[in-house]
Amino acid sequence: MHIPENYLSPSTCATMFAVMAPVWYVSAKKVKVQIEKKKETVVQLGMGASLAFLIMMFNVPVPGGTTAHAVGSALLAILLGPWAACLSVTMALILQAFLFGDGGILCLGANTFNMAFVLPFVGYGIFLLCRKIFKKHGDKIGAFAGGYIGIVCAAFMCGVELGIQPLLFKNSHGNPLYCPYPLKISVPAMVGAHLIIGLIEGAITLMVYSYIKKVAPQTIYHASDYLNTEVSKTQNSGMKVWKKAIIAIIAVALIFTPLGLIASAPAWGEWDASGILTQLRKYHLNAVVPDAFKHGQGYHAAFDGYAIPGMNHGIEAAFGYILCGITAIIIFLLVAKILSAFVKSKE
Amino acid sequence: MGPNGSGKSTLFQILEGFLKPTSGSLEFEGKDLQELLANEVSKKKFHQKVGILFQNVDTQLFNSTVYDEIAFGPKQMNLSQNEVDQRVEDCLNLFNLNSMRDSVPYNLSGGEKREVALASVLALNPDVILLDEPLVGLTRAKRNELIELFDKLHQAGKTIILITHYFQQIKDVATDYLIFGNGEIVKKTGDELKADPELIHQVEEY
Amino acid sequence: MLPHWMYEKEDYEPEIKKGGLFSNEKLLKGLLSKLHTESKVCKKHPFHPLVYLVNIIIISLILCFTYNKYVIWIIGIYAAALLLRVSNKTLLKIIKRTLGLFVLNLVLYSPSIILGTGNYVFLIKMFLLFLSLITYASTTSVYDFLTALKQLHVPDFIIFQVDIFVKHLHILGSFLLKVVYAIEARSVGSEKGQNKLMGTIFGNLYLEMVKFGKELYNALEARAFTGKYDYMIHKLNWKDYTLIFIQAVLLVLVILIGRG
Repeated sequence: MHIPENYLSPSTCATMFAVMAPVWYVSAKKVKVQIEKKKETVVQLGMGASLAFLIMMFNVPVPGGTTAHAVGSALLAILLGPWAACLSVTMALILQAFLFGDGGILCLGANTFNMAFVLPFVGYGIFLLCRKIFKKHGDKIGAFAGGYIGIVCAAFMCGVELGIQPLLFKNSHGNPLYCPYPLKISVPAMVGAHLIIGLIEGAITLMVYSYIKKVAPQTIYHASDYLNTEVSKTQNSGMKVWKKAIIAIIAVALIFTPLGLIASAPAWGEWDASGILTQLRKYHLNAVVPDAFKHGQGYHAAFDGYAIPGMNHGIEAAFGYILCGITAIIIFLLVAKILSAFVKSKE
Repeated sequence: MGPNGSGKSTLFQILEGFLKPTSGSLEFEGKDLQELLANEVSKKKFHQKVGILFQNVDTQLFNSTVYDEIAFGPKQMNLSQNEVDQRVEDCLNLFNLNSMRDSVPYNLSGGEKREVALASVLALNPDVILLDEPLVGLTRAKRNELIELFDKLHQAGKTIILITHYFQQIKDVATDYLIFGNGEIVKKTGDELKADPELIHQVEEY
Repeated sequence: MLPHWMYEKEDYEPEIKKGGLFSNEKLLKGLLSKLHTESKVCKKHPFHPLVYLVNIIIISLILCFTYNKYVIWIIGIYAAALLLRVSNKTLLKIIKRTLGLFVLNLVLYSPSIILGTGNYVFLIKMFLLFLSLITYASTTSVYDFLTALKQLHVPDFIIFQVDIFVKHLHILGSFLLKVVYAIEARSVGSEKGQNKLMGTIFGNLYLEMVKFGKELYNALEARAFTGKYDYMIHKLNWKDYTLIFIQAVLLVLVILIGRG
């Protein structure tokens, strides 16, 4: 699910980088704690990156005689920890782009968001939840479910990132500037395909996890190992292992963020009403133009003089994204705190 | 036999069909090797007839139990389940590995890994066996055991091609020698070699 | 005594059922040879690494933003000019890869052209983007990229990790290739059980990674590695100044034409 270059507008790309910046920062801090505790893991980021790279390029034989590709971030999150997995997969994606020309460089923000944030964190969160919920074989169920649900979520995000392009970025003829497929197509296509591909991701995560558990379980990441190091004490005292499940909730929050943006879109008033109508008609949807859009005509004429469409109102769009994202995260952190208090009282 | 880097392992890769020679041709059982490899059926049969044991044993153990590892080849040879089980038993007995039938190959010691890898190649019942440094890391007693096994396999009609530095230990069983060195390969029979003390000295250096 | 079946010849008809695992041999060989030959190709094209990196980023940005035909044309000429300095063999490789990627994306994009919402300019931009990035990727060595990162004041720690990444890509890549060879050497019949091997294949790869990690760490400790990287500072030469000048002109042109 690597998004190719030019399918995302510059403002979307910039926003995704902005979203990933705090993720990278926190991951780096967490990995620092890991390294303080177990010095030999200092080399694991780079090595994990080479592992991620090889997994991504490998043709996995699937029943039926064809091959498919796995991403492997959920697996890496279980084996190396989600923070190290995030940084390793990021490094693998960056080098894939710059040194092998695979994948775009401007859309690295979006690609890392999908494959180095959503996939490993949702995957790991599901893994921990399953371990908690299912007393028997919880970890194995969690490994499969983590890989499967993780990649479906990542595919959903990918579909949304692509699908909002034709809605937000069009030229004066109403033609999409970047990805031409709207949400109604991109989301079902991405999610649908990955409901099947996810089986492979889940299977690989499960198979490798089971094997490593049998052979060398001491190499698997355990968050509890890093609770009482000096550095972690000053950083965040009393962080419980299962709180990682909250990260899954936050990731889900970010999934709903763009939908929130679409709902509040009329506030920007910059959509071409007739363009929307054509689009809707083309895909046989109800051709109902929201009242708010009728005012949009005037705005659109003003932009015809600029030969770089999408840039000016794109900055507003970017701010909109970020604000909604932060709001969603805060809401879900609160929900998570409530949940954690609830679960704690049960223990 | 030959010095490090003289191309012995590369020759094995060519013999097994994983590398194409830049010039010249190879024939196996009277047929051109590249033609054999181009056809799926003859390629599979070729791999059954020519078994190879690489130097790095870790790359050759890709199943989750010793039993599965040894059974991997026979399972594909249209044998009944009983026959497959029998072959695995025989191979385990040959190396006294019965107690490790359910062990994970990755966790075994270096010598045990080598024995499991060799057992899985022998289970294919190949006519030719290519062995790249099979005696490394073994005790002298183990090396002797293995060389005896190679001799028995040879008596049973198999061709054994060995890359090794242990000239002293194999000189009594080896029939022919391919000596790498100075940019060329020289073939000598056992008798020819014994008659050439200078060459023996050179080979001992390797 | 050897078991009786070892005295007999095998006689069976192999069932031909392909599994797809061995397609990785070509892939991995390609990866390893790319890692190997990189430095040879790149010695012939010594741009200052940071300038070259900034160059590809600027080209990508301009192409992404613009829909102006003249701007795209100018960038096209620029990208083609950069290709002129490349050796013929590399040029062929670059064109081959670009076309391959382009055709793939053409298929992806074509439904929208058929439905009428597509944009031919989009396709031209996409082609130029692929061309520029693959040109950059084919003419930059890993260490040039690392030097560029260093000069961007990326922390030494990250450079250290990227260094390890690339070295282990080679080591783990060859390991993986040998595993695939070993499987092929013993695949004497139907390949239908191949997917079951994925657990051990990737699992063993991970375990090798852990093993190498420990060894590497011990080796580094033994040599008192401090994590500092002192790369040779490239002196800017006339080629670099030309490139910078062209980039500046491009940016100005883009802004001027864009406004008009």
